[in-house]
Amino acid sequence: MVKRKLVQFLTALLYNGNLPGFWQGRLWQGSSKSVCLPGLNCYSCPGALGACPVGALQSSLSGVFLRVPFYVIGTLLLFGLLLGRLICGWACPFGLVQELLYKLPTPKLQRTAFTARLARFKYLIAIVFVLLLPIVYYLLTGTGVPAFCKFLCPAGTLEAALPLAAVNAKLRGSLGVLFSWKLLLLLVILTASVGIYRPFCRFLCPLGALYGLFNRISLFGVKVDAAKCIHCDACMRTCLMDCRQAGDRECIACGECRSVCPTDAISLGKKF
Amino acid sequence: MRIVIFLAALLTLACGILQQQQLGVLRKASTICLECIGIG
Amino acid sequence: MKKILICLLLLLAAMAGGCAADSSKTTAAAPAAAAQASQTAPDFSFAYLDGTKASLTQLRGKPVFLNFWATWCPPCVGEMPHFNAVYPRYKDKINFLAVSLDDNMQEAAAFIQQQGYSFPVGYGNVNDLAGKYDIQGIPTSLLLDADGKIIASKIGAMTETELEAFLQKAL
Repeated sequence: MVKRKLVQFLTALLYNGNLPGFWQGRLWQGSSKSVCLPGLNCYSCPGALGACPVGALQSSLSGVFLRVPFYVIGTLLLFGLLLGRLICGWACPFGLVQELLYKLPTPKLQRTAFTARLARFKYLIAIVFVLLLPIVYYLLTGTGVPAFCKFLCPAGTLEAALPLAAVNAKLRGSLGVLFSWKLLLLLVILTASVGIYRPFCRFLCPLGALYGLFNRISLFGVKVDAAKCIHCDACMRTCLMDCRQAGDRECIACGECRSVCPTDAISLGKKF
Repeated sequence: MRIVIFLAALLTLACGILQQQQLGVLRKASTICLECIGIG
Repeated sequence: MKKILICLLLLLAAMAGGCAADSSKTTAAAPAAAAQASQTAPDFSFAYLDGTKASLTQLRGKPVFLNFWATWCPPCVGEMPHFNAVYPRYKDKINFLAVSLDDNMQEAAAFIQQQGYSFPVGYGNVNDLAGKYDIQGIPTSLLLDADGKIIASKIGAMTETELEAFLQKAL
């Protein structure tokens, strides 16, 4: 089994391979930016080589002409069908950041029935911020608003706002209240990540919410062999996400449950 | 179910590419989203 | 899984190699360096929304307020009512030109017409403009003196007060 951390690091580097962008304070403008990357990776990150699917979706709902974003929707359907939330566990830089912070030796908040209920909140975020607010704002003012990116997304603050502001004096001078809010939100999430496993992924990420809907049917991911399962629940005692069963909507295919299953009922890989 | 979604994915992707939406994505992703980084 | 890892590594190597070789995509090219304060604004040809062709140098003789925008950019569109409010007061002293970076002129024209804005709007070769002016984010506004030199620039939307203060720098 390949080390998941290694793949996470590699994909983070792959998504943000435009390293010169960081010290130049400018974005990559090559044609690879027309392709959406699977994970949450702000396209205003100076290193980003591809587009963020949530960002692309948001900006298509933010103009003065409302259009169905077929291209982005098709891409998301394909990613979901192929990998589901395996993307979250293996190919999302912001997920990696939270996991690294969790490694700090502090007391940890265990998952509970409450956290399982809280995990539904990300669906609300997806519907309200990604879909409803842009459309409602459009109907009221004639132009949309990329509500999730603008008001919430911590990946944008960490990967785009901070690196750009660090190097670009003109941008730095234009930062205002909105930046202060987003910085606060980012700090809260990063601080929470020390004691809570992947808080953003579990409770807030709209992309994870969407991909989770595909988990049961995705071609790659975690699968439980019902014939071998003895319902000992060792998997759920190990699971750090809010799964009720390995491979469900909350499963990010980290594979921890696989290593504790006494009957080898859990597989991680292709499900067909 | 998988086949339906796969076909839907291909169909929507094709619609998008026919409308050249990928160029729109490229254009927007190549420009700093000022709102996203906290400049109103 | 090992195969996936190898593929990823190869892809990574290809990407890194591609970026290194193609650094012109991010490096400020020489013409773009001209679009800095106290440099002459690069000339470009454009068409007004009624089809009349013009070029930036034709606007010399009076200061120019040059703004880059697009219909898909909410802050760009958000500051336009301020342009419209301020334009009648300044049009005799300063030339206004809001250049659209939309993928086609029809969308820009339809929007401007729909809103009934009176200030001049232009449309040119988007790639050429983005390169010459090294446009990093929009809206970007530039203030040029009567000889076409850049005297001020701003990235981000402006309120009406900020706009007036910006324009005053040329007067």
